[in-house]
This record gives sequence, C-alpha cells and structure tokens, in this order.
Amino acid sequence: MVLSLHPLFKRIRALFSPSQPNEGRSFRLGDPDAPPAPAPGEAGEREEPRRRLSTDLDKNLGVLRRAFSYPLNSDIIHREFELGWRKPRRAGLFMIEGLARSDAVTDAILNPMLLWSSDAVDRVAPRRLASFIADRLVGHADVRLVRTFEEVIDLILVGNTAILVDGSAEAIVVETKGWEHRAPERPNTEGTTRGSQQGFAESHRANTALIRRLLRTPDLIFERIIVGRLSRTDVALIYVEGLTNPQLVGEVRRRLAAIKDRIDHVPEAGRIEQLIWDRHSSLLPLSYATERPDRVAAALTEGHFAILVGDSPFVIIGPVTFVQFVHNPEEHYLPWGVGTFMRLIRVLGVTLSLFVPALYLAVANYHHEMLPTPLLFSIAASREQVPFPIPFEIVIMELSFELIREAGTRIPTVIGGPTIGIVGAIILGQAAVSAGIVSPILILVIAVTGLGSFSIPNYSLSFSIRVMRFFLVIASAALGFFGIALVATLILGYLASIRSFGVPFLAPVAPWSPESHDIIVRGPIWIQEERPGFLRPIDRFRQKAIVRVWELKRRYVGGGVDWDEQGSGRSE
Amino acid sequence: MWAAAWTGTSKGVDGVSDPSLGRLGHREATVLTVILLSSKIFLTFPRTMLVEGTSAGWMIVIISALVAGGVWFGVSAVLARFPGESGPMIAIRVLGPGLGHLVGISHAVFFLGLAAIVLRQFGSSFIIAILPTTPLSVIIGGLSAVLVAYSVWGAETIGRTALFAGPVLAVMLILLLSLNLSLYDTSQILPIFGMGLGDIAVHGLTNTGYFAELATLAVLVSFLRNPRSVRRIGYAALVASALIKAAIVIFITMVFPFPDGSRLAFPLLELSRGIDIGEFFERVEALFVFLWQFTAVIALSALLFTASQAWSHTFKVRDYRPLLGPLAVIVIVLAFIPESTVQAVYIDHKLRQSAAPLLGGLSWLTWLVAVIRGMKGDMNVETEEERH
Repeated sequence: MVLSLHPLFKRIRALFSPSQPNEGRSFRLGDPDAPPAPAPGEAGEREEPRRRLSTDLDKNLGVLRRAFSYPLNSDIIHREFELGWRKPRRAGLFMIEGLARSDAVTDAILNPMLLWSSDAVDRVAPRRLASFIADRLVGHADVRLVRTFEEVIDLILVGNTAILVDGSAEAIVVETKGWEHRAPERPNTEGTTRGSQQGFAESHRANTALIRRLLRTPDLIFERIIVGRLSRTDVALIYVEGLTNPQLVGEVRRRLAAIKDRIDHVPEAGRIEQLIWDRHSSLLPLSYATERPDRVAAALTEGHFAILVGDSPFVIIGPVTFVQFVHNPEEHYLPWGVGTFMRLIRVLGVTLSLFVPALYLAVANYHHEMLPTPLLFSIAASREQVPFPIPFEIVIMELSFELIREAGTRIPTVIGGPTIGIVGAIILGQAAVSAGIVSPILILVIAVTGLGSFSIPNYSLSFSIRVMRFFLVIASAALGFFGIALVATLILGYLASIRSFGVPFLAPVAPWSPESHDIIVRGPIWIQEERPGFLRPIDRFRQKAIVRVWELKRRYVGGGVDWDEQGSGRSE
Repeated sequence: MWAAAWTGTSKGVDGVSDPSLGRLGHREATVLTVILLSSKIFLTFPRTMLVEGTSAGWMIVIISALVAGGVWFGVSAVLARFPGESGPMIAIRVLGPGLGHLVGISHAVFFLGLAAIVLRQFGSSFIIAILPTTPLSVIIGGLSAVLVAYSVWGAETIGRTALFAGPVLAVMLILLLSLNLSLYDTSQILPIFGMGLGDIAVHGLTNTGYFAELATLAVLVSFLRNPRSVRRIGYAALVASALIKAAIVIFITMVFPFPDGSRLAFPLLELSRGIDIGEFFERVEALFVFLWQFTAVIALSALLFTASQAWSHTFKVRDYRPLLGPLAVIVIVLAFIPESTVQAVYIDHKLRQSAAPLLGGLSWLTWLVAVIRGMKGDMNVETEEERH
C-alpha cells in the first residue's frame, strides 16, 4: 500500500519543493527565453547506428529473413529469382501480403524484370545494377534506392516492395502500398448541411491527399516522424512553411521526438495527443480531433499545426482554445449574421448542457422564492408521487441517459443501433414517470440537457462537459446557487490556468486578442483580414485589406477621388 | 539581481527568467485592480457612504479617489525608479534591512487582514442573501478552498479570470441596476452637497482607505509584462472604480435615501431583492449570487496571492506555494475573530482608516529617501514586448 502510494507522495512533495527556474518549465508560445527547438528532420531520424547492406545477396537476404522471422511469419512474401539469360544474376524480393498490391508488384516489377531484362542486364556492372533496374526496368513512379537495413525494413513494413540483387549494396524499393480501407465517407460526429461531406478514412496517404487537395501549395509540409517501438506508426506533422510559427512547430517536433521511442504502440490519434498535451491529466481536450479535411485546411491557414497519426481517421489540430470548440466550418459558409446565430445557439447548448440540471436542483431545493407560485405548485404536484430526493432523481436520470447513449453506440446496426437511443429514452422516461420514480419535469430537464450536449461539435469536449455537470449537480445539492457558483469559479480558474501548446486556453478573450474577428461573433468575411494573433503566425494577414475592390473603385472614382490615391492603410 | 528573478522581465539569479510564476498584461492588471477596488460595493460600502455623506455620499467617493490618486503618485514614482521590483524589495534596498523588512511585513499583514475581513463580510452576505441556515464556517471554508486553488495557479490565472469575467460581471451589474428603474427617485440625491462641502471633504479624506487595494499593484508590479505601465494601470483602475462606486452610491441613494439606507447591511443585495418585473421575474436575488461570488473569488484570491508574494519578496522565499496553506489558515482564523457582521464592518472601516495611510506614508518615505540618496534600479530592464 505504501509502495503504491509512493508516486502520489512524490507528487505532493514536488508541489511544495522549490522549483528551479528552468525545471519542468512550461512552453509558452512567443516566449523569447524558450529553449531552441529541434530543426526539421531531427525528430524523424533514428538515434541508433545503421547497418549498411552488403554486396553479398545471401548475407542481405539472411538478415531480412531473420528480421521478419521468415518463413514463420505467414504474411511475408519472399521470392528469389534470376535476371538475364547469359550471365543470370540472382535477386530477391520482399513484400507483405495485404499491405502491398500484388498486381502492382507483378505489373510494375516482376513482368519488366523477368521478361524484358534479357541481354541488357548482362552488360551492366554488378555495383551499378540496382540503379540500372530502377532507371530502366521498373515501371513505377516512386522508386528509390536505399543503403541500410533499417530503411529497407521500415519501408517494407509500410507496404513497399524491396528488391535486392547480387553484387549491389543498394536495395530497390518500389512504392506498392495498397491495403484495404474504408473509402472517405461523411464525418460521423461533425456533420454539416452546407460544405464538404467528406471525412478522413483509415488510410494515411488518402488522408494526406485529402488535405493536399484543399491546400495546393508547396509550402504545405508533411513532416514524417515514426512513432512507436513496435507499431512504427507513420506520424505526419503538418504545417504551412512561412506561416506557422516555427517555435510552435519546433515544440511539437520536440515532443513527438521525445515520445517516439518511449512507447510501443500508437493505435489511434487519441493516444498521441494525450502524450504531447501541455497537461498530462487535463479534464478538457487540449487539442482538437477532427474528421473533417476542410477543418484541418482552415486551421492550417490560420497558423495551427495538425498531426496525422498512422491510419487514424482523426487528425489532431493544435493549439486549440476554448472558443474554437464552439466553432463549426458551416458557420463560415453562411452569411455572417446567420453564422453568428448558429454559434450563439451552440454556446447556449454548452451552457444548458453544463448548468440546467444543477440550476433546477438549486431552485427546487433551495431557492423556491424565485419560482412564480403557479409553477412552484405545478412542480410540487408533479413530485408528489416521487419518493426520492431531487439529487437522487437527477443522478438516476443522468446515468440512464449515459447508458442509453453508450448502448446506442455499441448495439449493432441490425439490432437497431440508431433507433435504440430514441426508443429507449421514450420508453424508459415514460416508464420511470409512470412508476413514480422520477417527475415529468425532470424528464424535460434531462432532455434539454441532452439536446444541449449534442449541439457541442466536439466529441471530447461533450464528454468533459458531462463530467463537469456531475460536479455541479453535487455542489448544487450541497449548497444551492452558492455551490454552483463555487464550482463554476473553479472551472473558470482551471480554464484560465491551462495552455494548449503554449497558447492560453481562454485566448482570444483572456488574454485579449481580437485580430481575427472570429471569437463568438463571427465577423463578416471581408473584415477578417488577420489570422488569430494568439498563434503568432509569421504572416499575420490572410487576405488583403480591401477584398471587394470593385466597390471602392466605383465609389471613389465616381466621386472624383481615385481609391488607389486614398490608399487602404496597407498596400494591396 | 535577486529581485529580477521574480520579474520575468530580465535575467535572474540563475541566469534565466522564470515565466512559470505568471505574467500580467496591462488589460488583465487593470481589470483585476478595478474588480479589487470595486468589490466592496457588494458589501457595506454604500451604506457607509450614505451614513457619512447622506445625499452626497457619491462625492465622498470622488474626493477619496482624488486623494488616493495623490498617494498613488508617490507609490508609482518609487516603483518607476526601480522598474520590475516590488514595494517590499525596494523598501529593503532603500530603507535598509530593518525598516525595509518592516515595510514588507506590513504589506503582507495588511493584505492578509483585508482578505480576512472582506472574506467574513462576503460570507455573511451569502448567508443573508441565500443560505440562511448554512453555518458560516461552511461558506468561508468553501470560499477559502477556491482562493487557495487560484493562488496556487498564480497571478496569470487570477488576471485572466478577471479579464474573462469582468465584462460579464459588468453586464450583470448593469442588469441589476436597470431592472430597478421604476424605483429610482432622482430627488433623493438632493441636497446635492448633503451636510455641506466641509463635511464631505473631511469624510473624503478619512475614507481614502477604501482605495487601499491599489497597493496590491506595488507587489504585483513584478508580474507585469511591462512594469513601466504600472502608473497608467493604477490611474486607469482608480478612475474606473471611482466611477463605479460613485454610480452605485447614487443609485442606492435614489432608492434607499438616508436614513432608511443606513439600516441596510448590504444595500446592493436589497436592491436585487426589489426587482419585480411581472409575475415571472421577482425575488431573483439568488441569481445575483453569481455576481457576488465571482467578484469575491477574484478579489480575495488577489489579496491572498499578493500577501503571499509580499511575504516571499520580503524574506526571499523562492517558492511561495508552501506559504499558501498557512496563510489561508490565518485568513480563516482572522475572519472568525469578529463576533458579528457589524463588528466585522467596524474593523474593516478602522483598518482602512488607520493602516492604509500608514502603508501610503511608508511608500512616500521610501520614495523620498530614494530621491535624496539618489538610488535607482536597473533602468535598462527590457519589457517582454521589447525582447520580442
């Protein structure tokens, strides 16, 4: 018991031990004293020494067979063959079934090499054979020559095919990736009516392509870092060169480099994000996991970075602030008034979801005087048959709601997954009221709370809100409005104290940074000239000072004044 | 040099600045100081002004603000001579270890005492307003836990919470005042000079202590991103809070004129009870507990945090967090010393009338000694903006 508590004691002691100025220092974006960040590529490089390929084919094949435990491993395909006729040269091929497309291997590699090599191969010196094959025989766009076993193994593991020839210390690696995956479909949790209906799929390359299609600039960088000792997962750090703050990119690179060889397995983006957050045990999500390519593209153009983890259909966006959790791409595709209204509705949803049960409890238990007499009588009458106190009623209903939601997610579609939630809620609610377990008004309260909860566009945040709601209900049961206010101040203080990749979580409100005109009120598109200042982008402006140029020209020229002479405050 | 370790504005003893202690922008610092200075409008301050100034209580506020502005001139002058250093640090440097430490301790003790007495009054107001059967210890215990949490999170969190909540609190206050529109009687602020100009001037002078929280800036200056802006922040906060307090006194006078108003312990609370808009919007004072609570938490955590910093700066304590537990216990104990709310109000009044001038006087003394001895701090300290 004492041993198991030891880490806890250590943490308590650490809380009260004098900290050294640079020890455990938190990253702050824009901090002039921040330690230098690693340069591009540093994070992706392996630290251990690399073994070079030999000119002896048998030796090379032996190393690879041992590395892949061939033939114990049933999905490893290894074939030996010969090239040329007069002086046949031995060669070997390695690929993984299911990851590499066998038709591509046949058409682009084996057919040309076996059928067309003939005399040409005989005339080439052994040390130049690999480059000859790559340049003249392989019919594929992506062919590379590698010299180390580590590179060959890594590339085979992600679906490439490696060919080794006798006498050459280079391996020919051909890009033949092509495993089965779901095609890009509608996002499950971030649906919109207007705008793109495409979400990410379970394919790393398909996902990078979805982002690249929206931002066709060579400045869009997909920096590759391999994370996980066993999974060797491809992680892409995505940013726009010349726009995203290099200090921010460097910090993310540093964190990814720190974890890459310290963990075994990265099954999903959710594990990586928890490992690289500023606070390891944050109640709120400190990055945004999205299924929408258009959201990622928009974030990248604002100065955020994104992380694509293996074949996960969720992309992590950071840094993130609280107000961004109530933003939705759809608002930007509609006129600003409508967009703002939608956003306000969502803010109302968050507020209702967080506070309604606690407020009902406080009013019903402690502050009856606030209710008009007829309503008070109505509530009292509806509760006449209910034997439980209100806090108990609320907890029962909240837990039932969570059970219905959880069951609705897990039940197979053939049994009626989508409908079980609605039917379950109606039947259970009606039955609970008839049985006198809960009052009808509480059903209304929980239903409003549920609706508010589902209006939150981020899945992780809606969970955090649910947890906080339980704290508020407990505080309300103990101390009424005073208790709610007490917990609310704690929540606000907590929000003010946390950071997401060095950016204060309450930005751009506290600290105040209104440059983007996109906080709660979504400003008109034509005044959104600046990117969010809290991200400290290198290029502050996302559009020209005057976009609707024709209107100004008409107005000023018509009035005898040329717009160009007036100037716009910033060169066009 | 040691002092610079706390400033976050230059290199400290270890050759690096320590941003983990938090930094305050000028907006955060201004809003925080405004909330600190104005928090007493929710307590007995309007009543005190009514009793002392009758229909001209608001003029006392204005005169007190003018006097406080004069005192602040001296305090900010000494802070300007030693950029980035706090009042206790400067006092030790200028007045020597003996008197300097005394000044530092007096700062810490004053803020602790103020925190305790304000905590007690807020606790009592919550009991009167919404929780009549709840023990005072529960209210004060709950509030204290939140104060300690905020103080552990540091100056940055307190400042940001103030900046985030400030506009919301202002809207709620305006709502509270506007919903009583039908009760206002402008004739009740007449006679305009109340009991006479001389009387107002004397009370204005003696009540300057109601702006004593301005002294927190003398400690929090070491957390400012730009310590040179401290004078501007102080004056902006002084003007804003004076306007808020004077306006509240006017509104209270228009609804509860003297002597009726003098019988109310917490006049603003009574004003919230008076809201009656149709059948569905009456007796909503419980809703305004959020306004009371957020103001109380921000103001009290700033006082507790400042007290811990004053102590740390005086005795060169590198990490202030271990101090917070004992200081919170002292605050709670002090809060329970008054036998009643009335006694707490009396102590608050006396503390402000006696200790605040002493604190202001010591700051002026430090300034004068520094000027006479020609002492100055590192005038080349770079602000964070300059280093970018």
